[in-house]
Amino acid sequence: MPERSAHGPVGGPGAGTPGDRVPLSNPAIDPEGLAWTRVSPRHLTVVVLSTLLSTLFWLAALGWPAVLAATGVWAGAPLGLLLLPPAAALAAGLLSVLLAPRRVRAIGYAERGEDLLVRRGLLYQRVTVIPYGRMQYVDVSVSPLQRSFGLATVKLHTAAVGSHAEIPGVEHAEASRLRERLTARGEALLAGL
Amino acid sequence: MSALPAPAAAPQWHRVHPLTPVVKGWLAMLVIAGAVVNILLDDFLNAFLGRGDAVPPQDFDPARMGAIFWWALAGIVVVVLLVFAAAVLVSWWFTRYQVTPEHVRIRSGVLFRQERQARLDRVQAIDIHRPFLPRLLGLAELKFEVADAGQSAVSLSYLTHPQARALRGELLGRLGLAGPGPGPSAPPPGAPVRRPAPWAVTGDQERPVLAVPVPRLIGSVLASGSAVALAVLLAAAPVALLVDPRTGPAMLAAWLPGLVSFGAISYRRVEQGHHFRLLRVPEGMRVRYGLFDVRSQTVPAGRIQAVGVDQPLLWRPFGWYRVRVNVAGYGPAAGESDAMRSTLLPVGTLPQVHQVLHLALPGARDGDLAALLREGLHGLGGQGRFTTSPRRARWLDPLVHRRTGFAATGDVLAVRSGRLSRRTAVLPHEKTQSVAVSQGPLERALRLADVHLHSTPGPVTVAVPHLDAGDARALAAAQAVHAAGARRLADGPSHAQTPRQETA
Repeated sequence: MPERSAHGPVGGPGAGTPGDRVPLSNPAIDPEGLAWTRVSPRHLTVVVLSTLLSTLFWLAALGWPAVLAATGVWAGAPLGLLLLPPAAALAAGLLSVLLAPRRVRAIGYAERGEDLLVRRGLLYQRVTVIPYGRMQYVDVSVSPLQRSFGLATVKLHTAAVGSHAEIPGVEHAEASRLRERLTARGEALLAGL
Repeated sequence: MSALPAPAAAPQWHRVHPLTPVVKGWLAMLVIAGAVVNILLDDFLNAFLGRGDAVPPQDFDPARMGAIFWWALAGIVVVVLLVFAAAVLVSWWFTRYQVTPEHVRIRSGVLFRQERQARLDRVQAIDIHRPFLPRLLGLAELKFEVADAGQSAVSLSYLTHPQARALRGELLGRLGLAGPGPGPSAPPPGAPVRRPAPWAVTGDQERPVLAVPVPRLIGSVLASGSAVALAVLLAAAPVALLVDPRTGPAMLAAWLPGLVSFGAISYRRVEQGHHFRLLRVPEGMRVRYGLFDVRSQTVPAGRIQAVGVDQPLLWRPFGWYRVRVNVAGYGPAAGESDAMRSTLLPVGTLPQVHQVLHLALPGARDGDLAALLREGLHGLGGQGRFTTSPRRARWLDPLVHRRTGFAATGDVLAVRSGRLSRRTAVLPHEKTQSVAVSQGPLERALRLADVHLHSTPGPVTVAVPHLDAGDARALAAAQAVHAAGARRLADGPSHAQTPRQETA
């Protein structure tokens, strides 16, 4: 692929920080000799920020009884018990933040001659192969958080429901390049149903 | 045939059949009339019973004091009915359809004009639907299934049945669903472009392939898990009454909803599957079924994405099977009432299954397919053509791991699954939409992986869980190559875009 983005391939040299022990290229499911293009490193910031935001939301939603109990408004409430749900939310949020770098590095895509491959997942890994001729349309969406970091999500639709392939955290230029290229390839190789 | 569009360049707008408002409005009229009658009868009975038998009806108070009142009420009812009828008539007057070389358009609405159109080269199937009342009046509804919408985008209701059949035959021929036909591109104005296609000349040629006898259909409904569960419940009822006479009736009452829903489902299955016939038509296959609502659907062979053959456990002694298909454009079945849409054989014998498969997958070699199907339905373990899960998969899948497997021929991929209820899915290579390989943590530890082959929405899912990781990767890679290769070959008649490019 001549047009590969500047970020290194998944699992290749420089794929992660030193000490990163997760094999991001899984020989069991990844096609051989394929260099994955990774999403923008800024996607990690977006993921961490959105995780923090949702954790804050859950903390507020689950934590207000504990606050009432601690400030004495709700006298006689079992404070220890009430602290459990917000603590769980906090733990889940922290875990997601800790896992986020590796999760983001596990996202990759690759353009081949006939198809596009999208890879996701750390614990449950999945590689989806979508022939260009099968694409019905390509969606590019930008959330407010993504916009402030210049990122976008590219989503591919085929006639099948199962093959919803999504590449989150692609830079705007790369997203429009992908969209144009996928559309062009899709038209050239268009297959009927 | 007067409503058929003239082949001239300026397509006319047509109205649907004048009886349409009657058919569409009859239910509402019935409800209104029923409500009025109910109110009147209620009052009458109340007054009558309240006064006792001895009093003649003319004597009771409401009737006497309210002679004017009753007239007013009757007047209101008549006015409401008239307004309703007028509204229905006006809406009929303003509802028009047009069939151009490229589109089917429907205009409706008086104040809020609405125009719906379906591009003919996007139409996946044209079905005739005959609900009970329209059928009595000789009317039919023509439904156009469009690829992207997931549900019927445009439906012409109602036309006379011959009209609907003729229009469908003509459009199917023009769409080239049966083979390379005249392209749907717009002809130059005034030029007599449309040469009659051979299948249009031969018309609605139907050759019966098979029919499902009613006793077998009823048997298949009775030989289902829910029927057995119900029988057990019914048998347990006297026992429950004997053990505890007080709670027994309560338990029976609790079972009543189950009984009712089972009855409803069974009734619907029998009603829909009644007199199921599979016919061969030039475009592909046509199924016709139903006791009261007779539906007729044409499934062009090229639109079939995947075929699933399955055998529930209780059908095994009878040697019965069911064949269902994913058809492009049909979308997911919206509940039980739609389930028959994707069924090519509700219950049938193995030879019938072979017949259906042969028609549904015209590209696949027949003998090969029969052997493949036999192995797919009855095979166990890794012998034969099927590649199954390795033995270590038993930790994740103790019962079924020897059944789950796949076999690829030059044309199709067969996937089998199910130990008690046996299932086999057959997917032509060129119909694969996309392929995914996935692996969870336990599978990683056991060096296993799942392969998912994505087909259009429908009753058939094609997935092979817990394969050896190497096998899984090889299958996915082979399938990607197969799909790409077969796609180039198959982009012929089934592909609406090709003839247009040729004629343009």
